[in-house]
Amino acid sequence: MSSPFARTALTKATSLMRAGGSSAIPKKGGGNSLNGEPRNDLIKKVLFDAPPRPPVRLSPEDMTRHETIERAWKLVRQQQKQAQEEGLARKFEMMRKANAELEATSAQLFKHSQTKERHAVFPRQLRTLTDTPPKQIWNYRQPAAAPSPKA
Amino acid sequence: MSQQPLRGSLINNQIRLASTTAATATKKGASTKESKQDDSILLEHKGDFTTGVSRLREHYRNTVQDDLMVLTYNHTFKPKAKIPEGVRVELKGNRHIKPAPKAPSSRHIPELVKIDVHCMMKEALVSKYNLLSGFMAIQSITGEMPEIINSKKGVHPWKLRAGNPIGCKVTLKGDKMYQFLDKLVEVVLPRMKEWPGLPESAGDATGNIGMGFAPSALSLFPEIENNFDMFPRMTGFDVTFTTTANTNLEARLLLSGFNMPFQVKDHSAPKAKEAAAPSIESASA
Repeated sequence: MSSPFARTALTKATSLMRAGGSSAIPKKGGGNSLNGEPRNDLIKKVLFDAPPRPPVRLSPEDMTRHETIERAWKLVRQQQKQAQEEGLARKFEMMRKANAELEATSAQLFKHSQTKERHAVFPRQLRTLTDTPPKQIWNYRQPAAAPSPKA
Repeated sequence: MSQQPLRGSLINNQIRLASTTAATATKKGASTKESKQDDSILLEHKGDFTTGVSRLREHYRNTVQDDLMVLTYNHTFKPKAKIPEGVRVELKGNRHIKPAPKAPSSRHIPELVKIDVHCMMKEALVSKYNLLSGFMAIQSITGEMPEIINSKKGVHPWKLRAGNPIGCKVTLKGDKMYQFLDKLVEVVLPRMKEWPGLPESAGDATGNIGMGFAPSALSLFPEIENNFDMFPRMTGFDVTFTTTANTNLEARLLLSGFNMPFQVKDHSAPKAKEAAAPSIESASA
């Protein structure tokens, strides 16, 4: 349901809203505009009545260029996905072999390896990748994470 | 045309064709204006033209996916007996049959499919224009135009008639989904006061997790915080994460991989009691 037209309208709206200032001045007659709330009027105008961005028109060469670029990028993504899937498949196969070997070696250890903790989650200290390092690299004063109940 | 695979000869042909049409157009001279207008093609809007890297998607591909594959692996997998066609199985207590789990494979790793953001406003019963505030709020948060949800049935005590616009909902997929999740986890959830995290037992048993937000949470989003006065009514909303996980555990593992906080309780209490009991017995004996 997305459209670039709505997005531009929205950015226009935010700047319009900032220019308009804080809570609206009540109109002279009372509940004229959309349930007596002039802000609703503004929101309705911005969302539904704002003219959409004019559609982009390209010459045939530009269109060809655009399509070539799109397809090249699609191909790159396809190759990356394939490489990713191959890596996963290799890892999976190694894991399966290791499990099979463990099953053959020791029944008790195998059973211990297969039992899973019901409420296992990634630790809260997990760091997602960022462009730049954080201001605080490591918190030395932080208390140690609670040991896992299984251990 | 865009469905065809990338082939050198095809592209060369197209470029040759395009260049010849351009050459013939320039040769015409006086009538170039008309030919330019005729030649220009309308660019169809096909999805989002995003060029940046989706941070959380990269994180999923680099870190979470591999770990999930290991953590959710079950070597002793037994396929469930398939129910033959036409046989009707009834479970007690209005329960439904869960889909049979598939054999573990590197292709069946839990992944986030979509996020649904939905808000229902009771004030819309009084006047449908009250819904505009929630509509605008959800559009600001998610970046997508929501769809208006109409009531299916009428409930007289609540003054609800069938077909009344009562709420709005938006489904996020792909880059927008990861962007929204990123905003939630990095900005909104840390700012929420006294929110201990999602419950330990969160999940609907088929791999989806839902959570609700009070109206106060809406003001924590940067898009709303900046023009707070322009929204007549702050509304609560709920967020549902749909995943390809099969169990609650897998779904929770997946979401915690994106730094979604869960309540962690200590389940090792009985062991301590067992250790204490024999010492008391030995002391008394």
